[in-house]
Amino acid sequence: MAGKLLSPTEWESVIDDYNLGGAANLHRWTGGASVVDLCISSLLRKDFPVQLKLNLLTFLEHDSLDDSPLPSSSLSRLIDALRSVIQSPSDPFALKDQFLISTTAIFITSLLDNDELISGSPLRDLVELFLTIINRPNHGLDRHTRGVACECLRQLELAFPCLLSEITPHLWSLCQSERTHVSQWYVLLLSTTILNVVKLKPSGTSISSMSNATIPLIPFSVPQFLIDGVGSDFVWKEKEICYKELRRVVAFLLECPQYLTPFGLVEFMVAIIPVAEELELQASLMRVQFSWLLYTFEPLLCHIFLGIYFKFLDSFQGQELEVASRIMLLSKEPQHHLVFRLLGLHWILGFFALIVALKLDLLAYCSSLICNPGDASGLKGVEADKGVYQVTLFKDGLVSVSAFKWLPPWSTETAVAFRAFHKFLIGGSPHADASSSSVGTLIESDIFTPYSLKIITFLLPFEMLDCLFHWARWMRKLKFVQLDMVANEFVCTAPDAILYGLVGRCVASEKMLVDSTSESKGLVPVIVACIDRLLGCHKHHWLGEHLLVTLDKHLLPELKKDYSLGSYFPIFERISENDKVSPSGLLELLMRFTIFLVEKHGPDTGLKSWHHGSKILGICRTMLIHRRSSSLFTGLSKLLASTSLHFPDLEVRDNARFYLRMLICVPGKKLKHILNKGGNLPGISPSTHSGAFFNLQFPRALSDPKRSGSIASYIHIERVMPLLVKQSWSLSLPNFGINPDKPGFFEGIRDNESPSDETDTDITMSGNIISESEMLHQQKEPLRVMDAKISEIWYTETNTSANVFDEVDKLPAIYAIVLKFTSSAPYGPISSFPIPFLLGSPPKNDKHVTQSDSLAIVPVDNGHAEEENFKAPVCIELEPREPMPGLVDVFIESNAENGQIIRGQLHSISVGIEDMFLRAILPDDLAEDDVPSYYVDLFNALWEACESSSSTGRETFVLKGGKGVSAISGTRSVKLLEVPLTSLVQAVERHLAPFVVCIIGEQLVDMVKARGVIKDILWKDFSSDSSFDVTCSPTSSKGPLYLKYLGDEDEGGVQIPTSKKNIGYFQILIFLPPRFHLLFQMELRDYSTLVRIRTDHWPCLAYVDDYLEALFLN
Amino acid sequence: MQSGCCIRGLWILNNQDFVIFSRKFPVVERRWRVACEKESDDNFKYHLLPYDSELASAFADRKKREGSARGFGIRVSQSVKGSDSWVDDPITRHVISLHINKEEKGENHLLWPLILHIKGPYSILVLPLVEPHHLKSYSRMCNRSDCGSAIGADENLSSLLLDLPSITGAFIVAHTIGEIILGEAVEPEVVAASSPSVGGLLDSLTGSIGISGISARPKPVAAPVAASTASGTAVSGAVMSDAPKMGSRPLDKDVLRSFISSAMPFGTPLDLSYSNISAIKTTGFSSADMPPADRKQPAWKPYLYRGKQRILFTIHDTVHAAMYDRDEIPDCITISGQVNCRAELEGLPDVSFPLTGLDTARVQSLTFHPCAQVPEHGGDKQAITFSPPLGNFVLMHYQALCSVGPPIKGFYQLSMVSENEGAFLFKLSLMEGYKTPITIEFCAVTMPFPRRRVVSFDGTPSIGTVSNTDHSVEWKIITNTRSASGKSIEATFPGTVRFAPWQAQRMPSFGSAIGSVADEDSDLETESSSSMVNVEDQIMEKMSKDLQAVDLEDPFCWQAYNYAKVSFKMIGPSLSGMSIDPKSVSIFPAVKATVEISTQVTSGDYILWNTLGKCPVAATPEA
Repeated sequence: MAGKLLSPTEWESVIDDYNLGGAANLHRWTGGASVVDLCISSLLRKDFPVQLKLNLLTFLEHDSLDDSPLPSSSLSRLIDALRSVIQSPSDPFALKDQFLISTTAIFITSLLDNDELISGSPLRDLVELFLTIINRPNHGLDRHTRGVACECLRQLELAFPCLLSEITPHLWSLCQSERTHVSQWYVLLLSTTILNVVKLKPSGTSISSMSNATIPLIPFSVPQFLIDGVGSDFVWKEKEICYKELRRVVAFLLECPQYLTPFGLVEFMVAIIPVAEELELQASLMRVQFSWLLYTFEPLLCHIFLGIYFKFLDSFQGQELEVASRIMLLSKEPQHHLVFRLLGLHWILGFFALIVALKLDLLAYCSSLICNPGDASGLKGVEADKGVYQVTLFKDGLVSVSAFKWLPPWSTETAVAFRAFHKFLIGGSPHADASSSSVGTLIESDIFTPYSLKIITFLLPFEMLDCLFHWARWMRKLKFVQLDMVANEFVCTAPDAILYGLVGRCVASEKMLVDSTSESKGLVPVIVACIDRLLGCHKHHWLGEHLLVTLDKHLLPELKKDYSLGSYFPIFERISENDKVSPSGLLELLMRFTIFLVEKHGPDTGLKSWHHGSKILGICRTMLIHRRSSSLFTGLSKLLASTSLHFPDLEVRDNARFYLRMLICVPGKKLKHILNKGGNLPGISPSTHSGAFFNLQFPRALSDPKRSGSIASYIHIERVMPLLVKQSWSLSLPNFGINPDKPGFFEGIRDNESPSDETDTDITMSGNIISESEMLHQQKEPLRVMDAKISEIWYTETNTSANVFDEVDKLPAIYAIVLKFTSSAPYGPISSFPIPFLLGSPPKNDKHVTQSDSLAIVPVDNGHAEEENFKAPVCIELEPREPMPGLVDVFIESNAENGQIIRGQLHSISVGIEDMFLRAILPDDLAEDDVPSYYVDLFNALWEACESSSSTGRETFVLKGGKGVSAISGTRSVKLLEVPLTSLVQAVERHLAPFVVCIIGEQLVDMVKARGVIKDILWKDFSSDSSFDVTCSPTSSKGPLYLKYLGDEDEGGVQIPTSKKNIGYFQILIFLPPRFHLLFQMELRDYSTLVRIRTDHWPCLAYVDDYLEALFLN
Repeated sequence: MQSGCCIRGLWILNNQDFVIFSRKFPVVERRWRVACEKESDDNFKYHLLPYDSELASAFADRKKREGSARGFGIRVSQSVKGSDSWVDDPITRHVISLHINKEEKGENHLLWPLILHIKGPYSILVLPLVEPHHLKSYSRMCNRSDCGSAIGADENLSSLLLDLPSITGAFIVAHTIGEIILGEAVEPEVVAASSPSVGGLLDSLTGSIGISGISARPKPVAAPVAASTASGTAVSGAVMSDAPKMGSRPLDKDVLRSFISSAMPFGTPLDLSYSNISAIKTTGFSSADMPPADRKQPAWKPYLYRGKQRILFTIHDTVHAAMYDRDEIPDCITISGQVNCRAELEGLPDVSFPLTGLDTARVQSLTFHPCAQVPEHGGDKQAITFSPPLGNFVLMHYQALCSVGPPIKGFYQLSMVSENEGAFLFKLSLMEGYKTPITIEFCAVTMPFPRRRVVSFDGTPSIGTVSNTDHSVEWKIITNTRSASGKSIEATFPGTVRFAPWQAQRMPSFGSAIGSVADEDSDLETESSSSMVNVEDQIMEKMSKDLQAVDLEDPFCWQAYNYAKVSFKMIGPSLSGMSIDPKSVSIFPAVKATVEISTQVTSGDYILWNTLGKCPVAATPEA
């Protein structure tokens, strides 16, 4: 028994605890005692307030849910308590009623979990108690309690079917005599009991007659078959007399509905409908008895009516329209709360879905009547008009939708309108439909769909639109629902629509869409979202494509070619991706847009031009990725060419040229592969260059790598020799997946971002730049062809600002630094580089170092000895598998002074094509004097080999070390550099001196010799080599690369002005590891130089071009 | 219809998402458990009902996921698979699902359908009993991977809702509970015209008296007479419940608890009449309450009336209008109305009268109280017979077209001359074509500016007075019946209104929901350079950039400048034509009882759209 009694306040806490977190919270209160027992003793106390007792009873009910079933003894105690409360004259009815209810609930949950208890005395006692209470019909004072007891009995009967079956006759007579308002409860009890008798058909002996009770009401005994186990041997003995009596009872019950509350009626119907079915009552009786439900304003009763309607469809024949219009009106009635009106709409949709399957003929007939009121000639007419009619209806719907087009794109109205649009579009081919996804097959498959569906679809919109639109004029809030309905109706019409040309109709609707789109650019994101949604669906992909085609066809020509066009780019993006839409329209538009941008360009529009230009290129890129280049070639190359020629923004021009080259030179598959690689990696390195190519929203991407900025803003890593090509195109991207431990952000120190964070401009900009060592080429061992290594020296330096550490005066230091390198470019593994320690630099006031300063090779003002400590040289050795530029990601791991481990990523280092330049490898046995001539011979041999027409071009060579064979397949290219002679020579001397193998031409030889930078090469004059001519190129001009660089040929280019006189040639031989070569033959004139390029590795041409421009043109 | 309406549990949350009341029904829950166990498989099994804390956190989660308590309702870009808005149906704002996380067991299961009813600061959640296959079906719907259901063909919500009366019932339960916790369980208003001998000014003051529900009365039987005399001087038009308002005080759990245990003792609602239940609770039955000798007493009429017999009807027309004042858009005017009744009749009599007043051509819908027996529709002449319940009740609702022209005609123009100033003009004509005895009692026009703060206004109307609040300007045209009796009135009001400086509003969460917000290059110079000729357009464009998206159910708030709302009250015969001849009202068994009929016509949503602004319009089918 209970350990202690809880006080009222304690009980309050118990109940609160329980509600919040369940029975697990109770132990500390009960101390392990049975909750029920505690409750019972509290319930019986006279000093507890009634309200608390009521709470306790509810609490007991809740507890019975997740507690284990109560033992028989507890149940007995509960009944005893119940009895004492019921019989007590002082306890209020509210408590008595609640006690009855709660006890019943607890019994039901406990007994159902424990079958053995059914036969036990508690249940019998409980039922007996209830029967005693209800057995006083028309008794005045406690009438409500009698009602409650009836309900308790009913719940017991529901839980233990046929529990009361043997005393049904008594119940009936009670029911007949009761005249107070609680008769509803008697009626419900009786109807539930009858239902169970009829449904489960217990053995005939138990209820031989309804009118003559053979067993007394009390004492009650639980029927034997319930004890034996429900459902074991129920055999309904056909007894005519039983049926007859049952009919009488049901007839009596059917008179009752008027006296019931709406919810009472629901319960009544649940019981009576199966009985009526079982007894095969005349269905028309149901109609007569229940038709009125439809005309009440209680939504629940309407719903109940629908239930009956579908049960007895036959008897409601002819009422379909009436029912439908009534429900439709329900959704129009303003007195209802919105939700019931919404429900009404759903019912009607569900209603028609059901009715379609059931009552096709009738509907067909009705629809014909509605369609042609005067002419019920039949279905043919309907068919014919339908197409036209639907279009009108749909137009009306769209007019309503388009009334909202001026609303902001994020508005609810727009969302709803587009939802309706979407529903309409997909209506023709629901997902459940197994037919294939293309329009063609859809049409075929749907021609044979039952005629039925078409009829209904026709009927619906007519009725609905009429009601809905009238009603919703001012009730905007429901209009959406209507639009939705309209769309839904059209959904149904879709099979027809396909017959009449869904596509045609779509176009009509899409035209509307186009109109609103061109008028309001704000809709673009919404339309794009809609298209994306369709494209994302395997079933309706084609619809999305179709929409795109329409937009392409109708929208593009409508658009104004001005800056507002920028808003439409999301649509262009979708069009450019989709292979089903011809790119020509878009390309033409972009072309005109480009022209507009070029024309409009002025001092104020620089950023805009760049912005739009980049967007245009983004579209071009998407096209390159997603389409076969053959379809694009003409248009795209034209667009790119003119962009690269005329566009005001340099970056855009460069990029355009680059794309153009890719389009022309790189085969489609490879191109897609290359571009895709970039496209799939959104985390672009902080370097400025690759962003423009690989991230379409790159103005934002630039500011993105904040997170890597934290450590990278203190420790800088700089190239000793800055790359010539600042905006080099790189296919290699930081690959965060490579480093297994957490890369990319700063773990050890939580620091504030430095206020002068310059992350978004140039990584090398901040702080003092030190680079003062000369460049070293450390060739550790003779390069082998397959195992080439080049090396570079880099410097790291620290610029740890004071805000990292507390002490401003003391220079911070870090120790045991290890730099690790990774790269996604095709370089071999890069060994990590240890640096013993680095000292921080004192904070500087002037942090604004101009770019030219930072890029200077030998900074003038940074040679102080104490600053040596702030930097350390780092050497990275690369082992390129393919000579291409790339990015090397740098990760740092180090100890701070206080022992913290600092880990993070520094800014990546760009590796340019020039870092791949090596001198050709010399044979071991070559004498030093022979080196120059060896190089010249090698140059000439390779030059010839790289001409595609050459015979050596198809030869194979055994690679050194016997590791395989290689065929040279050469490529040629040319580049015209419009630079003065002297600066060209200077540039060659500075950057390409080691690779020059031969200089031809007296004038040039004199000049270069005098300068003394280039040594140990072969010097020739024109006469020494007959193949050179002053005016002609050394190679034949019959090839496709013949370039008419003499612009004034028309005027008879025989005469060569002195400024165009050939001064001489540089011949340059570069070895590109692992096994390629790059040959330049520079034909120098006073103000221009033609570079003929040959290589056995064509991809490098892309970089070489940039390189040459950077080398000579800057 | 396998099952009726059963409730597994209900919860009430306050606006801090804290469960302040919960009730579970073990008997219904037991049924659910049995059904689940029958249909359980790997993906589906029975879960205990959530505890209050679990439910509260699930509700908060949903709120976060769906942007608001109700949610998006339709699929937007934020919608995630498995959420309600993924189903893409506005009703998911009312029938919601919750993902319950049972932390200790590591389970996450779907609770559906939860009826969500928001009332005052409370969110009421009711969980009706459905069948396991319904739940499975919904679960499939909100997890479908395609682009959304095509109604009528795919598995859809409509057929589920049609199949589930328990959802409909649960809504009614939720609404009733909402009214109870806010103390708004009010009976419909019945106005009794007093004796016609009293005339003059007093007439309008004491012309009608309010009689409110029986809930507040100690003894319902004797009460009506006392109540009507006591409140005899109540001002007309302000008849409200005299029950104390509970809105401001904390939720009275005991009242709610006792209501629930009477209305749905086992989770199966049987009678939701709050007035009846509270009368039974408070007064009980005495030996004087004898059951009728010959008939059964209906469940909805636990007490019988005793006293002086009379029967009162109030016909109440509500006029809704959308006045566009445009050639291409026709104006639209409709009337919805109801007949309220109070029958102080002894015993259980039947009352009947013919429905002659309503012109069937104009009536669009006609629905009745369940106590009414209505012959099947079709005939022109209908008679209604009903057995009236005690107290005030709505006998019927109707919707009809207006039999005369609109009571207030004219136009409203508002044009923004600068960002913070608008010039407006009203030209109205009141009661044009109306004859006595129809008179207008009061009439006012409100210009609401929900998104702007009104600083000042300027201008004098030709009639009436003007005042303003922070977000509206109100023009009271008629405040006195006498000044306007029986003639038409022309009223004009030109003026300007100045607003506090425009402040760009933060985009609401729902706003950003639809599509990636706005144009990415929203450079204003773009627009100025383009051919935007109209200055006003430009201002509007700029302002509409900051407009928030409206709530799906908020009817007029979307544009700040575009309509004026008219409110009025008229005396005289109804505009719908609904009328009851006192002589034709017959009572069976016949008794001597006075029959009083009163009529009032008030405005509903009577909207004058700004002629210079933009307005929503629905196309009318050319039938």
